[in-house]
Amino acid sequence: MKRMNQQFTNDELVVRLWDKEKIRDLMARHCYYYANEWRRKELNDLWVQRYDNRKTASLGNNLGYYEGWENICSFYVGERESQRYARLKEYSDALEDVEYSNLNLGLGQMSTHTANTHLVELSDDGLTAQYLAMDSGQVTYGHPDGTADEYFISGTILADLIKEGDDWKIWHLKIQHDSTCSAKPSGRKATVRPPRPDSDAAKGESPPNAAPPSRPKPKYIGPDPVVEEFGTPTTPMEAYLPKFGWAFLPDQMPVPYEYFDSRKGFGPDGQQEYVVY
Amino acid sequence: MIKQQYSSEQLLTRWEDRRACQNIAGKFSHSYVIHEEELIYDRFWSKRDDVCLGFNEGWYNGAEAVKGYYDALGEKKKLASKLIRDRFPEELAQYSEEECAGVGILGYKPVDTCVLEVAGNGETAKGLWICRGASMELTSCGFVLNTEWSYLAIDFIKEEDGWKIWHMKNVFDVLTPMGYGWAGEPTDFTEAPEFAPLKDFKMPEPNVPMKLREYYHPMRVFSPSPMPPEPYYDFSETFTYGIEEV
Repeated sequence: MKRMNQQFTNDELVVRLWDKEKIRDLMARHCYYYANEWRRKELNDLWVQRYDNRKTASLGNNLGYYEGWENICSFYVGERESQRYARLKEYSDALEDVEYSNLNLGLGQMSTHTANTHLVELSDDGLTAQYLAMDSGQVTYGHPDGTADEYFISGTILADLIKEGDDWKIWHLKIQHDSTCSAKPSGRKATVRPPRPDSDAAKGESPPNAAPPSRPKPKYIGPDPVVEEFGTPTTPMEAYLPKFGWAFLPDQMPVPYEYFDSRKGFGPDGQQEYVVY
Repeated sequence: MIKQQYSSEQLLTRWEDRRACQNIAGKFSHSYVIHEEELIYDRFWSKRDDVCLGFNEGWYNGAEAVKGYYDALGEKKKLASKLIRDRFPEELAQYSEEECAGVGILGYKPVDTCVLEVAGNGETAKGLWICRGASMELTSCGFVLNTEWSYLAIDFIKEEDGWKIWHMKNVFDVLTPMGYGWAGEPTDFTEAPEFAPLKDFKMPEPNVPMKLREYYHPMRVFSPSPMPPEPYYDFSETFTYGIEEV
């Protein structure tokens, strides 16, 4: 079998050993940058820099792909900032002391994205790599009435990486989101936050936690708030169907390969046709 | 930092250094599962006096304070185990207190999403992990299963007998009972008289109290993770996960 006969020198093997370390490190950084909302920094530091690679870069999610550098930036940085301002507006409309400004972006919002159970395969030519990991994380949306919608999330992270000089860079990233599961059992009341130290309630001018919030209970069934953040990809398609996604993972798992073939990559060219049996 | 060039031998050494540091984080985590929390200081920490351990409420600064924290964890475990043994005599009376150490308690504190940098001079290293834990704790209200979302940030130092923890910061976003919201929702647990002695047990306070991170609440300002490490040659060129000098 040809693959088993692939021979590398000891020096090449050491480089390949380190390549895998660097790729795991790179994709872990993506998780921190993503959760920290360091989107522009992520594109500058972790994604491809070379013109040709940026032209063919892509960012995929359940709803399709953003293709090309400008489209990726526009969504990943620009549209994301709009989404964050929209969340802040809920606060600034409800609370006089919360200014609608960039200083308050992210108020009450929190997320964690992990990269665990990762698989990395380097091409034989050493120029590209494929990556798959699980994201077992959380997203939390706070509200100005002191409640929060807290969710465990799960999905997979797929990426084609390409070497630019000595550095590995993200070339095609696909975030496949599987589930958004409330951290509170269905039917529980919404969270009542203890009064802020400077609030009237804390000063004893009204009883703490007096009135339960009037906002509706967190949605347990309904539109997935995480998928709602995926925007409108420039190449829209059903790029991942959580209902049947598991059936396609066997084909998505990286396997040893000689050189990059876009038809087998995690960009739109490699998109499998979903056939539901 | 100017990009270093390394020979294959040096790269292999650095690879082993990385794996050694990752193993320490793994062993640290497993120490909670196997109920050997009280041994964490002796096994994995440097015995220098400038070690420090930080949580949301402040720092245990210095060898004595750090050791004292882990010793107290051991004492708490012993007390909880004794109370569980007394509460369930049919199942546990035939075992000694030592054999029962850790019974009924689960400290599951897995670490993942590792970013790790070994210094160019190979003397120190820095690592950052995410911890999504689930820990069964005995409280004065009985057993409580907690959800944990935290960051584990460690500065390592290479000593004669291998890599050791130098500074550690374990800051939490969430540590709440499962089934309850993460925003400070009050629980409705009732006190269990048989476990009342736990109410009087107090962990030592940090000897450098300061707010390192707020637990999540809906009015919390956006709070990014601790900084992932960046490549560096000497520790003096980078930031610390320990107490920053003012």
